[in-house]
Amino acid sequence: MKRNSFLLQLLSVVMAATPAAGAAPDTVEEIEACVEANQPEGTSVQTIVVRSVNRVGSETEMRSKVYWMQDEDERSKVLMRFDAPPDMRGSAILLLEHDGRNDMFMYLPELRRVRRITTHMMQGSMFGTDFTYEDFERLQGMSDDASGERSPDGEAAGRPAYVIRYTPAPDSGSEYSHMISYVDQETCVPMRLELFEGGDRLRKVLEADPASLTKESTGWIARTMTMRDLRDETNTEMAIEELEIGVDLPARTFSQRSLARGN
Amino acid sequence: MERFADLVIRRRRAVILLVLALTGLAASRLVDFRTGAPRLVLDSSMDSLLPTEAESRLYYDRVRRLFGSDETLLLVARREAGIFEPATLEALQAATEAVEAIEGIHHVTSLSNAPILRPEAGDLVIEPLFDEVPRDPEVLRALRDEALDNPVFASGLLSEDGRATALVVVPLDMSAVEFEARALDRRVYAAAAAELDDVDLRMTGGAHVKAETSRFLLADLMLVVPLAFALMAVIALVTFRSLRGVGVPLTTIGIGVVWTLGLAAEIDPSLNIVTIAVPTLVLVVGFAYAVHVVTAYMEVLPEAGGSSPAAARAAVEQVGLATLLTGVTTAAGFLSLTTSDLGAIRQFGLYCAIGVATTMLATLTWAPAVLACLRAPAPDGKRTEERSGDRVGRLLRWLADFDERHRSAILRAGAVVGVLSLVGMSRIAVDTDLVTNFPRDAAVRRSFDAVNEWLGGASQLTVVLEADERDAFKEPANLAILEGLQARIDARPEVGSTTSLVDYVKLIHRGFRDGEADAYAIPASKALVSQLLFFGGSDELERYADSTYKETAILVRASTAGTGETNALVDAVESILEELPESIEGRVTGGTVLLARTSDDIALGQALSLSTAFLIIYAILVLLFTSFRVGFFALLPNALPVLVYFGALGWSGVPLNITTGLVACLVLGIAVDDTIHFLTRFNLDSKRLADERAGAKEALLHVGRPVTTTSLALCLGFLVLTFSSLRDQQQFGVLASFTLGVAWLVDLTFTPALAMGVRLVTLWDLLTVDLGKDPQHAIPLLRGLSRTRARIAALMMDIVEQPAGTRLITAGAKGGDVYVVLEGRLRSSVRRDGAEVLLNVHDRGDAVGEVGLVQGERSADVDCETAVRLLRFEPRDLERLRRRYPRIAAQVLANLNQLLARRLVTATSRVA
Repeated sequence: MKRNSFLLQLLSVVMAATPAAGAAPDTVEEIEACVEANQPEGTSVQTIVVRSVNRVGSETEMRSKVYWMQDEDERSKVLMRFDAPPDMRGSAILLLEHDGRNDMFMYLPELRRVRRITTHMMQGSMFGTDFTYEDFERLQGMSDDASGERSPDGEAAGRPAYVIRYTPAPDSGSEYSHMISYVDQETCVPMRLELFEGGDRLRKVLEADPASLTKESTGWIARTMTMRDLRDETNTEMAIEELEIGVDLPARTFSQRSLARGN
Repeated sequence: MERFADLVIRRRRAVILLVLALTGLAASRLVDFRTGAPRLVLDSSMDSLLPTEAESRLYYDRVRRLFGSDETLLLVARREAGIFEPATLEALQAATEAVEAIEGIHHVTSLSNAPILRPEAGDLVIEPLFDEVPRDPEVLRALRDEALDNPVFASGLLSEDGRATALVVVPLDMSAVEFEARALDRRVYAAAAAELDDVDLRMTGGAHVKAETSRFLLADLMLVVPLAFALMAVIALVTFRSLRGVGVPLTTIGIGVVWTLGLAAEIDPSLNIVTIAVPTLVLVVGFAYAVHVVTAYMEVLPEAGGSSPAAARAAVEQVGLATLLTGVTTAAGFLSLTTSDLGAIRQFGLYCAIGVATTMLATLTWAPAVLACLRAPAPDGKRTEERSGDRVGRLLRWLADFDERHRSAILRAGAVVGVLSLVGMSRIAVDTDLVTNFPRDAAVRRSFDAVNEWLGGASQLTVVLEADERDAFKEPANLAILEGLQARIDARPEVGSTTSLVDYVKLIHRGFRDGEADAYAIPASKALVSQLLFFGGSDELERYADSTYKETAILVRASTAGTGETNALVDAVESILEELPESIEGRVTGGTVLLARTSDDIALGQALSLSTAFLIIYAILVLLFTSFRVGFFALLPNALPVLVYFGALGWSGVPLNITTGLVACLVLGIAVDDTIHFLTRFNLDSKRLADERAGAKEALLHVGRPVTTTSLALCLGFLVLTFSSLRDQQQFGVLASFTLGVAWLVDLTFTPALAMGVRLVTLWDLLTVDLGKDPQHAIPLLRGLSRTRARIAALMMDIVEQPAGTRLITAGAKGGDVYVVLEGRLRSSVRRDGAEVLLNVHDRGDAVGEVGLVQGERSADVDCETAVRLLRFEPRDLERLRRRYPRIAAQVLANLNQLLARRLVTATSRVA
């Protein structure tokens, strides 16, 4: 269930406002709690722009409006409607989080059909970006299958950061040998994530733009982050252009019918 | 040269120490003495064979960046009963994972992990063909049908009969050196073979073929160089029959090789598949140099009173200049290769030139210094030629007579051979084939053939289409053009399969429309194409379209092996591409394509390099022999073997390729050595004997032996390459050997025949000829000429010496020679009534015998009052001067006319 999980995670991450904890966290668990405590509650609507640059420098842009809602069981529902490129206008994805399994529905206006997509394939880029399912899974929690270990504090984007080294469980099927996360000490926003593949080769780096850090009603968020694939020499920038939190969204917004109707 | 020889011999111990120190230094560049690890490695990459700055190369690099590398490893598993059987599919799955886990692998695509879109109970499932291998035969059969029904699988991963399947392994971008250091192909094969133990597993692909080429070359190097060394030792032993005769040449060439490779390592720490031949080449060329010095040493040893230093000094004096000249011309021949566009050829030319220069230096320093230090062998009263039973000497004498008797026939035969060679040249085919280069039973070759048979093609080409706007290849009309183009390429018999964006678009379309049969088609609208690609695309699409869909690629798998076949296919595809609409531009590229295209450039480059080499050598010969005409004559014996070589290529059907293309320059460089040795000696002997015919014969007797020895050594040396496993190396050895044999034959027949009609005036003569002070003023015959022209005129005549008291001319005798006094005094007299009547005393500048020139009979006696040096000429010399230097001849003839007129006036006044 790569694709729906991906988007779900993506949106969760983007939404992850991260208020600083009252006392400075010390252990890995405390730092993770500081980051995870920022999971937003309720609803939001945001406009996201994703720009990908390929190996010869050509750029493509994707613009979408993302509706997000968390139900009483703390399960997310996400509706993503594409506005650009023009051929994609009207296309939409609906993501519904379940226990252990996520549903993903796609709507292709040209076929006038809603299709549920399922996949077990865990690797590969998502929609031509530099993010993979695993990347987003890591971004959200860094954790279910990875063990963290504090490293000496460092710096990310010129700001003091907690440094945690994560090693995936041997049977996790991760494409990474280990990851190093730099969490901003002031805001608890992960500012930099280094992803290493076999042979301790640095494969990707995800960086939040410190200039894009804004304090919303629920806490700090980084509005712009860039994933750079050092092996393939490509990069993807993801920016939140507009953000509304606590919007009144009816539950039917997240239905297959609504997906096809376009509202 | 005398001063140089003197310096080397006087400071011989210092010279030896210096050479050893330099050799140690050079060796330290080759091997890390602390770890024993080699510093000079072999790079089998094709990069050095491709032009670095050429537009086609830059384009190929861009396409690789855009669509990924085509340097893949192709593992193909075949099972006679079919691969859709649980154990085989499980093994395939395990092999895919095992190979993917190898460090250095970018990714692996196989039936077990390539995504497939499958409508299933109203859902669209995107997953591999199988996750858990089914056991049910029915399900397996359905799986097989589904795979074969998937055009993307069928065109690249699965054979039509379902018996063979491929694992396409894409390594990380790394140099060939790193690839080989990691033995990545072998590790990949071992990992796959460990799992796929019940199938016929083969590996091919550009990366593997190159790595195997590198391994074969290294193995050959380990065999050929010691063999060449051993062969040189045997030849030296047979020739000189002494330890020094073996040791000195071998250590000399060993030093030359170490210096060459040491310098090569400084320039580039890796040898490529062309420069790997440099050590062997330096060995055989250097041996020839050393043999000349040792031969001269052995010859002059008895005359030097058994003194080693004196003999070594004399040897350098005798052959030093010729060695220097041959070194310069050979190096120039090789340096001409540095004009090539190809890095490998440029390096080859440079390294060979360095090799020639260093070996020449070692020959003129180390060899004489060591010879001078060694105790002279006990005299056995025999000269070298006598030791060998003088059979060679007798043969050479016979040959010299033969050359003289059949001079015209030899020259005509040379012309006929030249013409036949020119005809053969028109039949030359250009083809480089890395695969058939391997022995027939080599696994890499058998695998290539097997994969060609099973999957329809093991070679990969990329056809790139570029439109003039973004998203152009989402337009159904353009996709239809792409589809049509792909179908036409697919129809070519040598094409096994093609895969393009259209295949994916149609597959995704069918998947999103629940597998309806008519949905396997190009969608009707651009928007639908966009949406399908966005939601249904996978990483694999990156190999077929760039992210802006302005460019797209068709991957073509073909059974072409050599560059000739590849070029033919590329030409055919390019002619199809010309029919594309203006808004779309098409181009064929890929490593094999670039190599194939480059081979034409190589052929042209060789011709250009050869022309440059000829020009350089001609310029040197003109400078050396101070005449364009003689320079041309001297060039002919060198050009003839090269012509014969190219003619032989054409007539034998051996293709011109990267390796065989180097033979011509090599032969030109080496052949010119023997020609120069001959002409230098001929110059000395013809002047000494004052007769070109006698001079040519004498020169042949002197030079024939070392030329034969060195040619034999060179021919056998190159024949050692026939022990190589690679066909190109074998052909290189045979062709080089054959052509050097031709060069030897030319030098023993054609060159002397040609020389018999030529009077040489070398630059050396011009600089050193002694005509006394201001000859152009002091000698009336040379009046009105510049100093240089006066020297040229004198050198076209003979300079002879006579001791005091001897008679130069006897009255009444027949003869037409004229003598001009350069030094000393002559007296002319007649006998009247038994008594001698003094006619005149002749000092510097005076001429005698001019009457004989006119009437053919001597009118007076001429005696040498003192020891004299005279300039002697006869009508034949004047005629030759007229032909070669007409302006000088005009002045000399005018002066001679004046001399005769003055003599007439004097005689008339006496009568009066």
